[in-house]
Amino acid sequence: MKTRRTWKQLLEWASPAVLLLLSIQATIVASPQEKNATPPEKGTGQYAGVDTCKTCHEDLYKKNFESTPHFKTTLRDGHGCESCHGPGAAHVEGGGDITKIFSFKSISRKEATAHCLSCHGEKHEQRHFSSSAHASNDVGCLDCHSPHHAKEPEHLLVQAQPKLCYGCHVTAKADFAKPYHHRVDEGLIQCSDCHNVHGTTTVRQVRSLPTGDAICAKCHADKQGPFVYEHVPVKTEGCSSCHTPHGSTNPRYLRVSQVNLLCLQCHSFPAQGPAGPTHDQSKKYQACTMCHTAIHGSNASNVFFR
Amino acid sequence: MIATWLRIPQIFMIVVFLNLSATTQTAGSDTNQSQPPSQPEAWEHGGYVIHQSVEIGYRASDVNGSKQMYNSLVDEQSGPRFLDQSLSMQSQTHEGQPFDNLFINSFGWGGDPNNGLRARVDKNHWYDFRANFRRAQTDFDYNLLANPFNPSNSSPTILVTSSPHLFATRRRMSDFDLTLLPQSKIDFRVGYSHNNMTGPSFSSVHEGTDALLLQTWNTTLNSYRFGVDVKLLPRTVISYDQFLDYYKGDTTWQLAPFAQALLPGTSDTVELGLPIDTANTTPCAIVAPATSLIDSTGTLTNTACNAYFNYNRSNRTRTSTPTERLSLHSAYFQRLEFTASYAYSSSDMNAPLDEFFNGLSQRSDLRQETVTGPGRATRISNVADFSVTLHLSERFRLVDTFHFWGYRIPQSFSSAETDWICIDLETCSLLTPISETTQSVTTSASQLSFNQSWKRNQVDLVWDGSKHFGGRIGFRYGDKVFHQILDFTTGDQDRIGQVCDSISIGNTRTTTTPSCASDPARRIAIASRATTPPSPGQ
Repeated sequence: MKTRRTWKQLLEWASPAVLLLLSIQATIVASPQEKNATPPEKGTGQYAGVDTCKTCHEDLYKKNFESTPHFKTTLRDGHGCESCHGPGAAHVEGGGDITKIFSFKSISRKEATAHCLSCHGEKHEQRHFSSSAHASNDVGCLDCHSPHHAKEPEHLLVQAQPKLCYGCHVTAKADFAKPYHHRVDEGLIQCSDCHNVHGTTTVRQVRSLPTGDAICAKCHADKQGPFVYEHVPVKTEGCSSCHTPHGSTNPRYLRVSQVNLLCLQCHSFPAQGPAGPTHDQSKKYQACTMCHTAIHGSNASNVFFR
Repeated sequence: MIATWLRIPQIFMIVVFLNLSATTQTAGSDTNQSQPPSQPEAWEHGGYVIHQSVEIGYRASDVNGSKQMYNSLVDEQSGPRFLDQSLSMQSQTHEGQPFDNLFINSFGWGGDPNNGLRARVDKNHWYDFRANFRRAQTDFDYNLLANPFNPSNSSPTILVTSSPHLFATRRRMSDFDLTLLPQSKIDFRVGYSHNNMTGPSFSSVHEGTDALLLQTWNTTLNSYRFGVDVKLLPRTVISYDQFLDYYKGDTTWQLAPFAQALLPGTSDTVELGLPIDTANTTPCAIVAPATSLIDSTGTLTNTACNAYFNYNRSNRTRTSTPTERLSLHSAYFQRLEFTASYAYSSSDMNAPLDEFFNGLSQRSDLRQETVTGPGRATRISNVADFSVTLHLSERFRLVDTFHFWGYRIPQSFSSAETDWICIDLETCSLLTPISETTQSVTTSASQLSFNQSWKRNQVDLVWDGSKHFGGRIGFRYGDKVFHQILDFTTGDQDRIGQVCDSISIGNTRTTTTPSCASDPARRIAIASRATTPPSPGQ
C-alpha cells in the first residue's frame, strides 16, 4: 500500500520535474528569439512596402485587408502585408514569384499558428494556446480565423459562433438542440463565454473564475458561496456531476429525469454513506428538493431546508 | 386518452421581417446595380465607413396544448419586435477621432426572452473597450419536479397542477472592459461586471407539513477588476490583476396560498400546505363525523392539523471576494513557451437569518417559532497553474499542464430558536392562543470547516507528422483531497455517525481519519483521495 502511494507521489511530481529539467536544458541551448520574430524564413531580404503590394493586390487590399484590424500593422512605420508575409522585395523582383514570398497556404498549421502567436501570444486569451487541446489536436489559428476572408469581422472568424464550433463539435450541437439547454443557438451565450478556445489549464478548456470556481458561478452567482453548510459534491465534483451544461431532456439540465433518482445515487444506504431518505417517496415526497430546497448550499440549515 | 397537459403543443409562428437598410452610397460614387457588391454598400461620413442594419418585425405565435410547457421551453410570445440591429463604423484612415472602429450589435428587443447587446470601440495604440449586456428571461412552469402526489381518495382532493417550484426570473448581466495602451510595453486594464437576478418563484418549506412559499429573488453581483501587463522582454509579459467581487443576496420568502381553509369560529384562514392526502394523515386525518377536512363552507373540520397562519424568512447575504493574481507568459526562447499564474482570494460571507412561523406543527406541539442568528463563512483560496510547451524538434513537442486549487472554508452559524409550545398538549390546536403556550429558547453554535485541495497534471508528447497526420500520447494525473469537519450541537438533525462511516461519495474513495473514530459524536473528518479525472465543472 505504501509502495503504491510512493509510486503515485513519484508519478505526480516526476512528470513536471522531468519537463523542468528538459526546459532548463532547452533554455540553455536555445537562443532567444530575435526581437522581431515576425519575418518568416521565405522572402528574407528587403521590404517592398505596402504601396508596392497594392499595385498588384489592390482588390484584396481594399476589400479584405484595409477594413480589418490587421491594417494597424501599416501604421507607425509598420510593414503592413509584409508583417505576416515577410519581406517582399524578392517576390516583386521575381515578377510575383510565389516561392519568394511567405504564403500561409503552403505551411503546416503549427508553423502558421506560430506566426500568429508571435504577435497574439502575449494576450491573456491566447497564452495557453500552444498547450491547448486544440493545438494538441492540430487545430490551428487559420482553422477558425481568416485574416482576409472572415465572415465575422470583429474576431475575423471564418464563421460566427456557434456554427463555427459545431463544425467539429457535433455532439454539442445535438445537446444544444435538446429541450432544456443554455441559450447558445438563441445567441444569448457564446461557446467562448464558457470555454476559452485558445486554451486553459482546466479540463475541456472550461474557463474558471480567478477564485478557482468554474465559470458557471459568473452567471449563477447565488450558487458560488461560500456557504455555512456546503453540499459537498457541489464543491468536490462540480456542477456537471448533477447537470449537463450544454443541454438535457430533463428540466434544469439534470442528468436524470427525476430529481430523487439523482440524490439516491449517493444517498442510498441509510447505514452507510450520506443518509438516505426516511420518507416513502412513492406516496408523498417524490422530489427531495421539495424539502431540501437549498440543495446547492445553505447558510441556515445543515440539511438544506432553507 | 391523453390528458390535455400532456399534449404536444402545436406551435404556429409567423415572423414577419421588415428590413430597413440604412446603408446608402456616397453621393457621386459609382453604383452598379447589375453586379451585387461583395459586401453591403457603405455610407462614408466624418471619415468613417458606416454599415448599419435594422431588422424589425412582428412575431405571431399560436400555441395549442400545454401553455406551461411552451413557456418553459420556448417562451416566444406575440408582438412587435426589434429583432436585430448592427452598426459598424470604421475609420477610413484608421486614425479616427475618437475611435478607429466601433461595432455594436443587438437583438431580441420588445419582448423576446433573450436580449443581447455587444459593443466594441477601439483606437489603435490608445484603447480597446468592449461591453456587453444580456438579459435572460426564464419562465419555468413545467410540473415535473417537486410535485407531491395528492391522491384522488383524499378529501378534499386538491391536485397540484402547476409547478410548486415555478419560477419567472430575469437575469441581467453586463460586462465592461477597457484596455488602455494595448500595444505598449505597459498596458492597463479596468473592468466592471454586473449581474442581477430578480423575479418571483415558488419554493417550499417543511414545518409540520410542506407549505408553498413565494420566493422573491433579488441577487446582485458587482465585480470590479483592474490589471496591468508589463512586457519585460520580447514576448515576455508579467501581469498583475486585482478582482473585487461583491455579492448581495436579498431574496425573501413568504407564505403563498395553495390550500386555504377558514378556521372555525373565526375569520382567520389557514394554509394547509401542498401535500393533501388525508388517507395518510397529511396534513392531518379527518375526524368523524366530518367526511372531509374542509367542509362545504370552506371551514377546516380538524383544528389539530398541521397548518400555517404565517411564515416569512429573510437571509440577507453579503459576500465580498477580493482576489489578486500574478501571471507570467514567456516565449522568449525559441523552443520554450511558458505560462504560469498564481491567485490568492479571501472571500467573506455574512448571512443573518430571520425566520418566523405561526401555525401548528402537530408532531412537536409547536404553535409559533422564530429562528434568528448570524451565519458566516470565509473562504481562503489559492489557485496556481502553469503550462509549458517544449519544442523538442520540428515535429515533436512536449506539453505539460499543471493546475492547483486549494481552499479552506471555516464556517459558523449561531442560532437562537424561540419555540412557543402548547402547555396543554391534549387540546393543542390551531385555536390555541399564543398566551396558552410556553416559550422555550434554544441557542446553538455550529463550527464547521470544509477544505479541499486539488492538483492535476497532464503531460503530452505531440507529434506533428504532416499537415494531415499527427498524434499524441499523454498521461493525466489528478489528486483531490478534501476534509469536512462538522461540529454540531447534540440533537442536530445531521446523522453524524452515518456520515462518519461513509465509504464513498460520488466516484471518490473515502477513508475516515483518526479524529473521526476518536470522537465520532462531535467531530467528523473525511479525507478523500481521488485518482479519477475531475469533472469539467471544476
